[in-house]
Amino acid sequence: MSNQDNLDPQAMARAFGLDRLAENFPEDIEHSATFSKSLADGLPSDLTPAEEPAHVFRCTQPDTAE
Amino acid sequence: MTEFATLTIAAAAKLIRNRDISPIEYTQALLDRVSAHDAKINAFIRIMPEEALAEARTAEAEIAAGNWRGPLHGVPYALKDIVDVDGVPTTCHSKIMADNVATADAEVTRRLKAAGGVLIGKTSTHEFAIGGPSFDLPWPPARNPWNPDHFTGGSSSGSGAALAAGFVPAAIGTDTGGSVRNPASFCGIVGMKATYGRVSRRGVFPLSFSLDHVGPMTRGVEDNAIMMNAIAGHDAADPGSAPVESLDFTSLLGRDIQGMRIGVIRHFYNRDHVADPEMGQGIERAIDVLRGLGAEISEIELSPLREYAAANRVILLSEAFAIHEKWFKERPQDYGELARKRIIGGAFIRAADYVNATRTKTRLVAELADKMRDIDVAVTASSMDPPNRLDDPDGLEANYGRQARAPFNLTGVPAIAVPTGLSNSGLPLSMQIVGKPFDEARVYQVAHAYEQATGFGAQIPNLD
Repeated sequence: MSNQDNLDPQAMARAFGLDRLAENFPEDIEHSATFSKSLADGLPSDLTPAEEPAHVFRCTQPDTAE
Repeated sequence: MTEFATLTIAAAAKLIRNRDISPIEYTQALLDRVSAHDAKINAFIRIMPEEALAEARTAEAEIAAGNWRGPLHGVPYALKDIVDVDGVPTTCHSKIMADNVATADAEVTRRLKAAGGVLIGKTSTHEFAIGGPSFDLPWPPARNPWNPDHFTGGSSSGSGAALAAGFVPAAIGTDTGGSVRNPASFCGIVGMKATYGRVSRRGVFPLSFSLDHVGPMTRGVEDNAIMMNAIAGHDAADPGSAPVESLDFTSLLGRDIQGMRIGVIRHFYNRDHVADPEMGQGIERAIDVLRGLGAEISEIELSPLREYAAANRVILLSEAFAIHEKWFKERPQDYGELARKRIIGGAFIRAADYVNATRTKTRLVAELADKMRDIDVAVTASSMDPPNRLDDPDGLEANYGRQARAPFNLTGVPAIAVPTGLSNSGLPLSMQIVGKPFDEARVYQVAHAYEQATGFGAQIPNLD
């Protein structure tokens, strides 16, 4: 469980500067926060430290750069 | 008399080149059909009759002078309204962008113009290619020509509807989690998402940089390959564009598939999701057809569909929210409810989860490559269900994630949706054929062999 699991989505939205959203669409925020949590829970839990992100930056030599 | 509504690009090209039909009469006939029927289909946000007829006149003059550019010369097409056309609004089907006028052509537009195509309009979409079908936007959602009470699929909804309705023989869609292949599946047409980087995204409003693909939508496989010939190619101005040579994507059409090794990803539609019986039976019948054509059928097992879908969605929403954050701070009320609910999910995804989703992508790309090493193409479901009714929001929401398209956005490999017939209630059924990176020609070969064996995809519904 992360710290984020304990936070109120409305408070998070306000902390992100989404005050208008929090004020006018509180139900949408609740729905979206719950959905996002379910997505993250669907990721594999056995990733090893050696498994790298898909877009690790790769330098190119100036003469081969496009 | 030529039936323009069902004319394929391949057939039209011969007629136009031989001057048996005129691009002007072809364009006018399709504009008339749009005029007569689009009020109940809503395929178009913007119809461009004057511009289209001007382009048709130019095409006719060029062809008369002996300057035939190729099979799209003088052929009408449509663009999803997230694709830029210089001087024309790109609305993204949203109030947010209602006044946005493009100042340059998207690369795909430039290529289609160079091929001599005749743009007849911009098609409806889900708001920003994610929020739909919605009734709270400045334009209504597209309706399925096979039954206007039903959903077209999305987000390239209008492009799918325009093809099924016989409004155009070719359209462009975009696909981030399946948005070319879903409307293709639901509208009974053919939609291809090529390898990531095969078609430039420049000038197309982004949904998710890592997952966005631009793809051709047509009523048949040969036409789709013809379109791909026109739009594929390296674009140094698109950071995701692959520096590979473009091929003739029609080169393997008509070759038999004797001995072709086809792997079925059955667990996607009979265990991870359980497809609607008619959809599942349609895929199994299609596999039997491919076996009958001489293909060697085996089964392959991948990680659960849920892992592919979760990684795709976490990346998609994180990147989408990064694009939309400013507007969500300033004018959240100007989004429709569905786009708002879906995109703001990205605000609540932790950085670690985004990174882990891209690490999962690395893992799953390697897994798919390994499992496809000993096969030529894979077959699986596209949608798990036939199209829902548009007045059933709970059903639409329940079926939103019941698909097997997102894995191939995540892994970037080519995947095509092709029709497998109609359900008992007359709605389209479909399957997907998936290839190895940059092996689109083989995907087209198998799809074409299946299409020729079954004849699916040649019909359009009666709109009267």
